[in-house]
Parts: sequence; structure tokens; C-alpha cells
Amino acid sequence: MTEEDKNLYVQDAYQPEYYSLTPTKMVRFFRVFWPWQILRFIFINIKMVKMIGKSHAKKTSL
Amino acid sequence: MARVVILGAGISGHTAATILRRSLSKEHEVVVVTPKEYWNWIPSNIWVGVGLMKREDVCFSLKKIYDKIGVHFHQAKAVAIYPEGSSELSKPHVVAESTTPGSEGQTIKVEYDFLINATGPKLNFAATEGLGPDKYTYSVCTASHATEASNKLHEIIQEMKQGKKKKIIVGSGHGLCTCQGAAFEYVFNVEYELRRHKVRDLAEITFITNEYELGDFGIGGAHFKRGGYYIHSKVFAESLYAERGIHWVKRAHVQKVEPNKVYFETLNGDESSLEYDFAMLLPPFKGHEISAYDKNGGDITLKLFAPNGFMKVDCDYSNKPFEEWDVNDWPKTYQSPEYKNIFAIGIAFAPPHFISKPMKSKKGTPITPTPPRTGMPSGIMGRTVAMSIAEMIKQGTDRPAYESPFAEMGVACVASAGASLLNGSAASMTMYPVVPNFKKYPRHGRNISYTFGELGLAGHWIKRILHHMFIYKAQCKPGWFLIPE
Ligand SMILES: Cc1cc2nc3c(=O)[nH]c(=O)nc-3n(C[C@H](O)[C@H](O)[C@H](O)COP(=O)(O)OP(=O)(O)OC[C@H]3O[C@@H](n4cnc5c(N)ncnc54)[C@H](O)[C@@H]3O)c2cc1C
Repeated sequence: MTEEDKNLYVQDAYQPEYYSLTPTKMVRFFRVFWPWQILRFIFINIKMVKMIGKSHAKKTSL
Repeated sequence: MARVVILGAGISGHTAATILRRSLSKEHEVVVVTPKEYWNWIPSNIWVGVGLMKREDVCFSLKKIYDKIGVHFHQAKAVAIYPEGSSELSKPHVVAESTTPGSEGQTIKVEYDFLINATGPKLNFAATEGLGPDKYTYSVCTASHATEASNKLHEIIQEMKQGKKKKIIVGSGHGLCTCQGAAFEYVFNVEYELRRHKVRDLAEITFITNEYELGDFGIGGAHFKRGGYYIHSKVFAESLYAERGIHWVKRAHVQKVEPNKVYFETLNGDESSLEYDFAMLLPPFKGHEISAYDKNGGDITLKLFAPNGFMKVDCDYSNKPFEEWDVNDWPKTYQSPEYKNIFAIGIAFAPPHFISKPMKSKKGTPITPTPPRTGMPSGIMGRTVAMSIAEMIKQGTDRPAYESPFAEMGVACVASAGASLLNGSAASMTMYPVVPNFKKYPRHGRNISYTFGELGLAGHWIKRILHHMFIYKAQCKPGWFLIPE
């Protein structure tokens, strides 16, 4: 059992943590799985560039 | 010949200075007045605060850069603005106190044709008894605060290695704090470091926040589309805290701090306390104490500035109830309504109201995050105002040529949750617009196709690249202007 798993294990029911959504092993695996993260890297960059483009200055409409 | 004076060389002021210098011919002067000789990439202070970076990795000398690009630099702190001139000097000017070693306290007067206030926040530790690096808690708001925090953190890590249990508190040090994202990043980086040093099981970590829900971040949080549902950021934030075994206290106002105890009150009226061995609590922000005078010497500070010290710009400051807030209350050009040659950008402009719904405890204590103005919007405001002023000088008009309506601004941000190129992670988020527009997007206030967030290693890579990219840009190295804010 990893330290992270232990943390999850010892939490008491009826504490706020107990009602939270927590990731499965697979989700945690993919978060640090290089090939998948390289794809996410490209995807996130595209999303961010779009956002930056949308937010920059334009000529005033005053 | 025109002279543009910029007060402050942080993210927004330095962006404005470099873009103005590039846009204006050499006959025009660009002058920066700022109390510190160095520029700090503040987002990476989080990594200084856990000992993964040194102060030198996040700061560099400004004077050298300004000498290289031809910006005049005064190491001084602005204390007063005379927008109509004074009996001694007829042109509009700023009075500043030198902070240059050897001439500290000497007064200088800097005349201007255009003035940009980019002085950022004053860290108001005094708002909470016992708060701050001069008292009992640590901060990561400046590189030197972050170095002190890291030293203390490593001291307690050494004690934990000897088997001692420790209590750690991270979060907001007052009911009106902003910048919850920084506290979020710090708590997860501390947790990650404790795991790296194999002492995690000896630490009890608590996050204390003035947010109504975790993941509010002072903007009411955001909804993301995931797994067939629209899910509020609260769910993802709580998930991460639960996964990492970090307890949380929300809706809290820290009343006072004693050497090993934090006292707080929550919205429902409860008063309680938490013990700690190490606490990093952010201060609330206010504006710098800069006064303003008319040509007869009459005090016009409240004409230029809101009572919290931030500068009034083209916002609707009428005191409307939450239900009547409108995105058009937010600024577009960042121009002062009183003096057309004065602008305020970044954290220095006075928001018209909160973004998160204002709340008060049963005792009447306000407990609501104040509106954040993060790096990307601050940089964009710097660029927009610089472009406007350059155009105003060329055209000889007092009408700003460019606008970046705050209400139409999106944000892209990456919040570190553990720094390692192999197994670190960060939450990458974009949202549009930053101020929810319920008229246009009635259900969630935002355009869901531009609003997304996810946690993973890719986020950490991006955060690391941004660190190098923005320092490169700020140092005006070849092609710097191609890097967007
Ligand atoms: C720990 C931390 C982490 C953060 N992480 C992120 C992040 O990951 N992403 C993000 O987008 N944002 C982040 N932020 C927010 C971001 O740092 C701010 O949005 C940004 O710095 C605001 O820029 P600014 O130019 O308004 O103010 P600042 O960058 O604070 O600059 C203000 C400048 O004004 C100068 N000044 C002060 N008083 C005077 C005076 N009287 N006269 C003249 N000059 C004066 C100061 O010395 C400074 O140079 C973080 C903030 C903190 C504290």
C-alpha cells in the first residue's frame, strides 16, 4: 500500500473527505503515463493558445 | 516628445514598459519607478517556498535590462501623484522616495505626460493579529518570504526525520484574502515534498480558506464538462485534497495567530482554533498608500483611488447588490475617469465589486475571497494600455485606442501540485470569461467549450516551460515580443 493509499484508508467516514470523488488507480496511472501525457500536453497547449488569442487587446469600440 | 511614467515593474508594469519602449520612437521617454531593483517571476515563488528553486532562479536585475532597451529607471517608491501639477512644478508629476542604496528616503519628482499605475498589492499582514513573516506565520508572496518559508519547512522536515509528528497549516490569513490559487499550489507542493522526504505519514496538513467552497478561487469557481456531466471545480478540488489526505476548513476568517495556534471564525458563526508547527498563510491585499493632490494642494486621493487604495478606472463603482451585478461593471480601457492620461493595470486597479458572492458571518464578519487578477490578465492589461498610450501619443488624442474588456477576458492558468518532471503534476485550467456572464451563458456563467481543467504531468511540464519562457521574455532576449502574455 502506498502512502497515498494509506491516507485514503485512514480517513474516517462522516468526514468531508469521505464524500469526495477520489480517483481510481487507472486515473492516477494515466496522470503520469508519459505517452498519454504527451498527447495531453499538445491538447492543453492548443486550448491555452485559443484562450490567449480570445483575450488579447482589440481596437476600442468607444 | 512625450514621457510615459510607469509605477511598478511587476508582471503588468514591466510588460507595459517593454511594449511601450518597442512601440515608441526614441524621442519619447519611458520611465519606470519601482522600489526594488529586481524583477520576480512570482508564480515560481511556490517552488522557492519548498526549496526546489533559489531566489536567483526567479529574480533578475532590472537595471541591466532597462539600460539595454533604453528605459529610464528610478529605484524609488511613489508616494504622491499631482495630476494637475503643483505650485512648484506646473506639469503633472509623481513624487517618489528613493530606495536606492545610499540615497534612501531622498525625494524625487518625475514629470509625466502619461502615467500607468502598476503598483500591485500591498501585503496587508497587519489586518490579522500575529500574521506574517515578522510575526508567526510564513508567506510565499515575495522571493525572500518564500526563502524563509522553505528554511522553516526544511527545519521541520529534519525533525520529522527524527520521528517527530508535525502539524502544518496552509491557506488564507484573513476573510478577505485573494490568490487562493497560490495557497492551493503551496499546500500540494509541501505535501509532495514531504512524500519525497518520506515523512508524509508524520504530518497532519490542514488547508484553511475563506472560499465558500474549495475551488472557488475568488471567481465563484467554474464548471467543467466531464463524464457526461457539468461538474463544478469544487468537486475536483475536494477530490485532490481527499486523495492527498489534506484536511480542509472552508468559509473561514482567521481572527488572530499566536506562536502555535490559529484562531478562526466561520460563516456559520462557529469560533475555533488549530494548532500548528509551520503555517503559511497569505495576507489580504490592499493598495499602496499613494496620495493625490490637485494643483492647489487639495487632497484628491479619494477622487483617484477607492478607499482600499486601489486606483479607480473605467468601472461602474455604484454600490449595487449582488443580483444586479453586470459584466459591464468591469473595466475595458483601464483609464482613470478623472484624468485621461492616467491608467491602472494589474492588481492596482480597483475592481467594481467581488466576483464571488459576498457573505458575512453571523457576527457580521465579511468572509469572501476578493477578486483575483492573475498573471495572464495582468500582462494583457499591460500590453493593452501600452498599445493605447503609444497610439494616443501618435494621434494626439485622449481616447484609448485599444481595449481588453475584463469581462471578455479569459484565463489560462496552471497550478502546480508537485514538482517533478517524471511524476509531478499540475492542474491546467482555462476559463472564459473570467467574470461569469449569466446573461450570455445563463446556466453556468461561462462558455463551457472554453472552460476546462485537468490534472496531470503535462501540466507540470507546461508550468516549467512557462517559468523559463516568461523569464526569457521579461529579460527582453531575442524575439521576446513574440511570446504572448
Ligand atoms: C505566491 C504567488 C503565486 C502566484 N502564482 C500565479 C500563477 O501561477 N499564475 C498566475 O497567473 N498568477 C499567479 N499569481 C498572481 C500574480 O503573481 C499576480 O497576478 C501578478 O504578479 C500581478 O501583477 P502586478 O503587476 O499587478 O503586480 P506585481 O507583480 O506585484 O508588481 C507590482 C510592482 O509594483 C512595485 N511597487 C509597489 N509599490 C510601489 C510604489 N509605491 N511605487 C512604485 N512601485 C511600487 C512592486 O515593487 C512591484 O514591482 C501568484 C501570486 C502569488 C503571490
